[in-house]
Amino acid sequence: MLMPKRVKYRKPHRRPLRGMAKGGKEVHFGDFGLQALQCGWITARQIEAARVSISRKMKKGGKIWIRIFPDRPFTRKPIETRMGKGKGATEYWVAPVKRGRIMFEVSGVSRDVVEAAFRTAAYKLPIKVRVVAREGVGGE
Amino acid sequence: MKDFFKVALKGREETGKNACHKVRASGDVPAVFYGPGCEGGLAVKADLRELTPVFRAGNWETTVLQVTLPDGTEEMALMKDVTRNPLTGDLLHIDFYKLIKGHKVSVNVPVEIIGREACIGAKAGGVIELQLHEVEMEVLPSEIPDAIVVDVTSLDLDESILLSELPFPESAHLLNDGDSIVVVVSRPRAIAEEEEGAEEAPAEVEVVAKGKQAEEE
Repeated sequence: MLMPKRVKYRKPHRRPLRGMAKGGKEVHFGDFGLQALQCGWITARQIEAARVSISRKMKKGGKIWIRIFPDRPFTRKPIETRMGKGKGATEYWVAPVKRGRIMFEVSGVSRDVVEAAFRTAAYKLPIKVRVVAREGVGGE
Repeated sequence: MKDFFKVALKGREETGKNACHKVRASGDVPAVFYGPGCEGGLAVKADLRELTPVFRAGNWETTVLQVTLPDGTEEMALMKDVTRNPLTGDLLHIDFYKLIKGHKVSVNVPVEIIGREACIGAKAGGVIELQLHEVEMEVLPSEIPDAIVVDVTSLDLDESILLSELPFPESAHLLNDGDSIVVVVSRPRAIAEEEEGAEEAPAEVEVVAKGKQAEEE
């Protein structure tokens, strides 16, 4: 699963996600992209599950790009633990995703295959998403 | 003679976020007109209905427009930049760049592929990958191509077409590297069995700074 090799701080604050994505809003590498319509924290496991489902639907063809990276640690205290004694240990890693962000991109396959692949990927994600096309590639 | 789209630009006195919101609410699109001989730029607005056919025609980056400025003068222009709302797709702002006859202009020309179905490599199971979506070039306004068309019919597996192999207008000076690959027919990737590492522990991440203690030192 994806996780950073090194971080500056072990346990940063969980800042709320508001507004639209600042960058990564356009299909840049492939022909089609999966765009987030809501803000949310996407875990490394969810990214991996979505990637595997896209990969399976596309079979041998095409190419996939993952445009988000889980670089924020999500901490949790062990169960049945009293409050205090410091912040919990890192449980997993998340990618903060804001509205408009292109999370996955694919190329080299037809629109039908892309839609089927992204539909299965959408089931693995905790936010609403939609398929977008690069300008001039099969419309939206 | 090429048929140009005509766009009438209206004057816009107020600039800034609130003024632009009002312009959009009235059905126009805030825009700026600039270029050689138009220092500082001119804040204008364009009618959305006039722009719709331009975008519908495709390849707006290379479409030369005949714009009428607020003072009545007619100029040739190119849309250098178009800002859209990423969720709704609504037009937010347009940059019109003034064109002068005989002066080269830098444009990003989109690359289009033809012959996908007849491609030899694709028939053998290969995947046609377009690696360069736009070609940046300096070219005379009269010679701006609508698109760079790449025929992939004769491409076999692992074969590629370089930028230097494509035909361009005489006046075109490429700003991209000529050795860059435009399109390649790659071998299909094997279906990877990607269940590995599902239960990896999120440990052994190097921490560069450790909170307050590290900062105080």
